Amino acid sequence: MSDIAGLGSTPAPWLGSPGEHGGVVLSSRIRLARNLEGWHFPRKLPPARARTLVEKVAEAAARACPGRLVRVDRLETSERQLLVERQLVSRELAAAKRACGLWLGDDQRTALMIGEEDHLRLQLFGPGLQLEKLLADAVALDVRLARDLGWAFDDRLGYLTACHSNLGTGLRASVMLHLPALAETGELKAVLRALEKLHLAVRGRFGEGSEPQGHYYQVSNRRTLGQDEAGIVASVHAAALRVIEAERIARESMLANDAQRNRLEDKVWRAWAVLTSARVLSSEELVDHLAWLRVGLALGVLNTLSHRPTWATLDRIFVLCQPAHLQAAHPAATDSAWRDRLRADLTRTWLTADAGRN
Amino acid sequence: MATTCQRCGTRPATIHVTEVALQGGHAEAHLCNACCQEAGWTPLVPPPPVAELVASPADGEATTPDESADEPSCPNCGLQFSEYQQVNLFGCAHDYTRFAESADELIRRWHGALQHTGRRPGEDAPDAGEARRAELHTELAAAVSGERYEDAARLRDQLRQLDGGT
Repeated sequence: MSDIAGLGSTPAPWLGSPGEHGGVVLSSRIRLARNLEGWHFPRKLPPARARTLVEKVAEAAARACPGRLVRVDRLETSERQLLVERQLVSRELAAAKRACGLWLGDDQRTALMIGEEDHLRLQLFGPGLQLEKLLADAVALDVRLARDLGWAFDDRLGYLTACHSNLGTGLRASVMLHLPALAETGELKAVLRALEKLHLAVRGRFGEGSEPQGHYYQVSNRRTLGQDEAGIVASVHAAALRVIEAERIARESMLANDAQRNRLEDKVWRAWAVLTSARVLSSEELVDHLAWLRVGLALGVLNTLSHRPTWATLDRIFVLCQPAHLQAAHPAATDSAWRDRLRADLTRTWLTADAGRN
Repeated sequence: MATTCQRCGTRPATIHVTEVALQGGHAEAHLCNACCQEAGWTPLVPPPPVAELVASPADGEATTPDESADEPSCPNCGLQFSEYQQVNLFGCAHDYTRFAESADELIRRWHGALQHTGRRPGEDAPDAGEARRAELHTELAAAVSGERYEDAARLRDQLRQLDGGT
């Protein structure tokens, strides 16, 4: 295994549930798309130029942000998948055959994708809802990088990108939300429709085309041109607050109604029973049950339990029990049946270890 | 069975898209042609008839179809606009000038604008707090005029927090 193997044994240090909104917001992300002036976009770059691009951006990144270069095109499939599971790279970059890379900041909250559909995708992550702070940090990093790298920019169309949907600011501000109560009460569709009308995009946890498994949703701006960066961030922030409020109300209304409360409590306790007893757990089953444990912890449903799990344990299981993470930490776990068994063992062990500490 | 477009909710869905995720699972979308284009999805070109396959040039030979030989291309990267419509990716920054008319139409449809108003290279960070403040003031005015006093109080608290937490 290469230099990223160590990532398989620890969740990102910046992760920190439940945050200030009762676990509804998992994380925020700011992404800026940039291209070098005078260069073809990655899709049209000859192989030698693509290699030079990775080296050139990595050299500038080394001066702007302490970290290391991961040559994604040289990784094993499972290692690429590990980077996708941590949301450090997109599925497109993970699947790329041309020279491409990831500049991973030492803080693990800065991740520069090099040679995806644009030359650079500058990303910053943080726990909870903190788009404004992340934008300020991302712009500061962009300014540092621009000292070495001249960006393709047009007075009318702004930062020029390979796809017209990213033109202008090149900014995508996204928030990862956990909305199980809205899904359970059937109000989610109306909420998602309202977001669409505000020109916001709603996607699953792994971006475009991914399923909203466990009711985790990424909400982000669709438009990047015609509004400045602060305006875009303010509109996503405001929309996220409204959705958080809707989820809070849906959770309260479930608790206030006997039949719905029974249903909610049953889901939480079943999740607890399965996760502390199962001997085989698929990735999908774990994500679904873990989602209800988060709700149970946030709403105090698990309070009658003498030994409650901690939020940090739920984060740890959520990240480290993903397939490629398991394989990185346990190289022998190459087939899915083995991983399902290992996933059940680790989940049970970590949840009951919490019980021992309480 | 005929379904309605899940985006506009009015026109019949004529395009059915299934995306398969790398880590398993899939997502489905049922869209009408107009919404499909607006969402930036490009329908897959149906496979060519067998006769055309037989007549196709072998790998490595020039594959530009006859009808596109006359289609203008970018002198810098060689991209033809029909290629962009297939993959939604331009080849270089010049393409926005070379295909300005078609590109502007796409840009206007997607963004509802044709003029960048954000940062320029080298400029410092924008004041996101200021934009948020303006948005909160608008929401506060709407809450007061709608007599939603609980919302108004919450918004006022948020404004105070932005102004220094007093």
